[in-house]
Amino acid sequence: MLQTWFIVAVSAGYLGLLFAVAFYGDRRADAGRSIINNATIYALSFGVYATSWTYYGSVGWAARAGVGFLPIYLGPTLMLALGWLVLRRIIRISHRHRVTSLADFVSARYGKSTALGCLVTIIAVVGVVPYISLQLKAVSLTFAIIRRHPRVASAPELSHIPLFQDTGLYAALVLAAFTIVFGTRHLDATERHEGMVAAIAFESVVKLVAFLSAGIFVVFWMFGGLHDLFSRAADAGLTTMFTLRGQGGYGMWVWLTVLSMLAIVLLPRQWQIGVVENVDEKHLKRAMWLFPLYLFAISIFVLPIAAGGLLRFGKAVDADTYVLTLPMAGGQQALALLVFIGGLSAATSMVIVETTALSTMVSNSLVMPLLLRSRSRLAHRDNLAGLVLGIRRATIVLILLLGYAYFRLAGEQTALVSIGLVSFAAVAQFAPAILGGLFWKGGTRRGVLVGLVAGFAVWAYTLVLPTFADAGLLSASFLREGPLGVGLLRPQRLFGLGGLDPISHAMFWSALLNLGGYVAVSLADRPDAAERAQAVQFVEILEEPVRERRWQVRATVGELQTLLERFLGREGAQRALSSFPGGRPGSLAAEAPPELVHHAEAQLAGSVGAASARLAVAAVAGEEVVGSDDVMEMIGEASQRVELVRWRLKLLYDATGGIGTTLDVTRTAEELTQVAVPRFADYVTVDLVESVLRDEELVTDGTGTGSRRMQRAAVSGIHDDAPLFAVGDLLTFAPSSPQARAVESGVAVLVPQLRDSAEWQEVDLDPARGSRVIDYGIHSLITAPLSARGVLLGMVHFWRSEKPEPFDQDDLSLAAELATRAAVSLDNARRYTREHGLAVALQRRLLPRALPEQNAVEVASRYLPAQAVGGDWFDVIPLPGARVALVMGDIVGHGLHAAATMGQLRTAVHNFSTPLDLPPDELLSHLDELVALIDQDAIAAGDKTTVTGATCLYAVYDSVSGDCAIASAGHPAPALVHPDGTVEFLDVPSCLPLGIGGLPFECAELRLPEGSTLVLFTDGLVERRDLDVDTGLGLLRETLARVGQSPEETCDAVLDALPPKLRSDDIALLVARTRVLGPGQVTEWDVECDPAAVRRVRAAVSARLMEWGLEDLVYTTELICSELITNAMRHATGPIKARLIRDRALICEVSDHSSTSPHLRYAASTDEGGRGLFLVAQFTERWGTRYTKDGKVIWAEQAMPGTPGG
Amino acid sequence: MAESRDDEQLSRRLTVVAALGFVLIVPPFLARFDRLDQVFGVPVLAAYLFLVWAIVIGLVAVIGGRSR
Repeated sequence: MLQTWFIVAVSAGYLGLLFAVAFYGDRRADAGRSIINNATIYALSFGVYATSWTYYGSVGWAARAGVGFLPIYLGPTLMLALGWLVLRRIIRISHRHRVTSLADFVSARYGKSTALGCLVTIIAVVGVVPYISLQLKAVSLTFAIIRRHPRVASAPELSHIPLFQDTGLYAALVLAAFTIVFGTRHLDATERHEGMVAAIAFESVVKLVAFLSAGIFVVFWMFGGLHDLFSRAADAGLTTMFTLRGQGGYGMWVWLTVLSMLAIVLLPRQWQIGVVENVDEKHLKRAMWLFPLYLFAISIFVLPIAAGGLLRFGKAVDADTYVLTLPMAGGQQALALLVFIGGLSAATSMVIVETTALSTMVSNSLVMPLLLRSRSRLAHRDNLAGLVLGIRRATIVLILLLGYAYFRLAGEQTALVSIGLVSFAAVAQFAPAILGGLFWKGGTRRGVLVGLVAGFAVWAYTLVLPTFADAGLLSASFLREGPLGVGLLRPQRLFGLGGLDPISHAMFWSALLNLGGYVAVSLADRPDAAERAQAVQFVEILEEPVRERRWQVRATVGELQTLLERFLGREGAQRALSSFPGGRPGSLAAEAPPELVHHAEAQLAGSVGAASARLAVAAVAGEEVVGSDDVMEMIGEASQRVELVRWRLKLLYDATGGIGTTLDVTRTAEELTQVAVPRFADYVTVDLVESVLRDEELVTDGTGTGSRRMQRAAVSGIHDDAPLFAVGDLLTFAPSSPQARAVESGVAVLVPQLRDSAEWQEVDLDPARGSRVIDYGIHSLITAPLSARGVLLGMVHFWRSEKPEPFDQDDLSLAAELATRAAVSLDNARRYTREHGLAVALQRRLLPRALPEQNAVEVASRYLPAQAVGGDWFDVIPLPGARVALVMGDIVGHGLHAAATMGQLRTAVHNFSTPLDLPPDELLSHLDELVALIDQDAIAAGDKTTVTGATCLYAVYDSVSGDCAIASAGHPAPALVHPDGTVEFLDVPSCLPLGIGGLPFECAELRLPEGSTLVLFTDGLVERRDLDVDTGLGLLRETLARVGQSPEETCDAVLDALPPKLRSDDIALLVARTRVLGPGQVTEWDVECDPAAVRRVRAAVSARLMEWGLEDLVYTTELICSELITNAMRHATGPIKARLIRDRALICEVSDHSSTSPHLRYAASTDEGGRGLFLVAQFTERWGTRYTKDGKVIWAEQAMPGTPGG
Repeated sequence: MAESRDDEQLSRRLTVVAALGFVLIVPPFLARFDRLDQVFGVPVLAAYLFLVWAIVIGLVAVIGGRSR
């Protein structure tokens, strides 16, 4: 009843149904309601993996080797588990870069290489044609069997089928038609074939249902379930059903697992379905488990059917046909027909997708690039879309005929399985290129080329040649004895490697050579810019998308449109242009923006492949002069340079912030070394001219000879044990050394390879060190002079050891820039250090070194300089009449200027106090005028810093009366410690600071009991950043109340209690404890205005001196007293007083109420008077006048015998 | 869109599953079950392999389904 015509009709009907499904799928797609945008459909379409090989072949395999067929399905399960890691990357890359085939992918990954695309295409076609032939063979074979229904034909009967009875041929032709209709319907940038995918998913269901039906029938109808089946198999001694032992070890098992893992991605049809036809990468999530489940289901009855076949037929029937022959033997015609249709669907789905994928590869990666390159007339046609489709259609027919030819010539003898494995092994050769290219940026075009060619050659030699020999196309001796009898070259025992099954053997050698060649050549290779750019794009596909490098070409919008029309047709071009996100540019003659050119290329790439699209755009954009590869390279290198420049700027920016944070020469040198390590160099050393380190003035002649001595100032490196000179070592570079040359020329010198040059080792100290440096791994040097303002300060040396690349010219300029910046900082530090030192020296010189001796007060002083030189000063000036002046001042500002001004003021105060003996308020007035004058001069001279604002406190203490007069010009009031320990801050009228002028100064007078302590200080003591004035004063008051000791102790206690932390301001402190001369040391007389009184006073003076034991001075003192009193009587008014004070000197004073100043004159010989003062001046050490509130005092001092200066 | 943490985690977990599956289906685990016995009327080796297979599929389905 199963007539041939019926079978043919059902088959045709099935194929018609397929057409309908595909047509429906395309219609839905055109209407925008895709049916394949569905994870389940996607997973089912993956079922294209299950071909006739699975459908018929795995049962045949199981009959021979039990579960040995399983790796072919376990492998894909594992690979899909890795799908999120691997497939998702490939999908995303393909979608983003419009990669539409496996060949295109390899080509695009390795710099859009045309050669690689061609090679991959050729390997794919050669490798897959046998696989296609396998499908045709299966169709042909099963048709021959079912045609003979109900008789089950034996294997030899089917061994030869006449050409025109062979369904394989007709199947091939029908499939070609289907593929042409649905696989090359139109040229589209996404290269999706929705109808075809829908048909494939449908076929997956059909074959699964058919196979499961056959399985269930065999297990549960023909036998009594699994248990019965396998018990009988065990009884029949079918041990191959149960174990893998005794089948040549597990090597093949492992290899098959690996091969099928690769095949599920790398077979062109799997690539087409899994990558190109993928609508949404999220669909992968379901396919990752649903497709393995599909494989699981379709494999579950393989072993039982094989066992059943063996039990039923033995060796009489080809085991590959058990699926079909068992239902036939069971008399189930309908089931047999279903099984046949299932087998047909398995074969057709594979052939359709495979030829579609291959035709895309052939047209896009092989034919079009060649046409475009050859500039053949074909490539200049207006409608290239037609040409491309034509190429594809021709390719489809050609491939199917090739497959059929292979089947007729070589395939008839071979089991389905071994043909399939040969194809698996072929596509596995792509694994290093694709998987390597996915995760390893280092893989290069030449590496792939070498690996692929080697792997493919080994594959052909060890796997394909033997099948030819089996088919009788080659002599069998070729296999047994090797070509020309060379045993080492036997295809299945290459280089004597025996004991392996053919697949393991071939895979071992091809994987070794392929992977080895790929890795070795890639490592040795230097990829060009385009390749590097593509590598980054591919490997980092999951990172943030970066903008692909843009074309920098000139093309008008019109030219681009024409180009697109040529490839995509008028409508396609319109679609492509309108999909440009930047909006449609207005005029056709306008120049196209680079984005549009890029967009056009991307659209074209989807249709004709990346390499072809590039060539096509280059042709339009006038890339004849500059090759497109060069353009890519230029763009790539330019962007790399931008990266590099950015890196440099960052380094220099960090250097600016990092070098010169202090004003210390050594610290600055250390900072230079730290900035450059490890980013720029692995080691950095800085040598400084010795005088720089010693703060000496530098020779500025600039004629630095190479032998100048340097001292190592800083070393920094990634490790501490480098054999470079250590800090403190003194070095002299030989005149020929690069270091000396750098010094001489003033520019940085590069020594890219230390090994190749010996001069750099020429340092006077320890010349053997050079070889140790090289042995340590240091290989490259830049040495740069550190000079600023024409003066050489030192050198910096940059060394590289672990960074593999030597310094280059760009590094040299960067090093020079670093050195220049560091040198300026070093010079600043050096200058600052010098100026600071000078100012400190100046200030020390200007302050009193030892306080003068006097008896009026007991004094102690402290001066604490700040970091910057300040202007605090103080003084103690002995005044006549057993008095003393205490001065404390503070100049605004710091530095040399402050120190110099302080010197001026101090001198001025000295002059105002000693000879003029001005009272405090007057003295400050004079000082005020002086400061104003100094400022006027300074401003006139263009000086910006002025003295105005300086403060001063001036106190005069009279140790006879205990009186103290104090005036202050804006200075903090002194503290007074009473003898009983109570402390008060004196209420001194606070007047304006010096130099402001205007108001007169006021003087405060007070009487101090003996033993009082005056504490004078500058604001630095009580006012600091961490201490406000009131707290400081409070602290001072407490401290003073606690200590009642000598001035020295008081000073120490105060500075202990108020320790200067930051030394931001200097501190001066002066402590004076008062003394009062006792009654035994002072005698005073009132003198009436009567000449007779002079005699009385003389007598009293004489008596007093005798009492004090100063007989020697009686005569002169009497004379002085009488002269002074006489003068007072003659010239002055008011009550006259005379006073004798025995202090360090004998002081004789006469006061009156006149303010007329006496003056010394030389009396002429005729003058009656005018000799008195002359005599006084002759007899005394010093004499003078001072003014008091009531009048004036004339005083004269005589040295006492036995006292210094006497 | 950049690689999210979820995607990275999913990749890592599934890689572990794949590695586990691979280890289980090659020697020495494979050899351990490669004997003539039957279990539930099925050859031990086949039963073992299909069990491992089912477990791997199940793990991938669970892990993939849980991730969002």
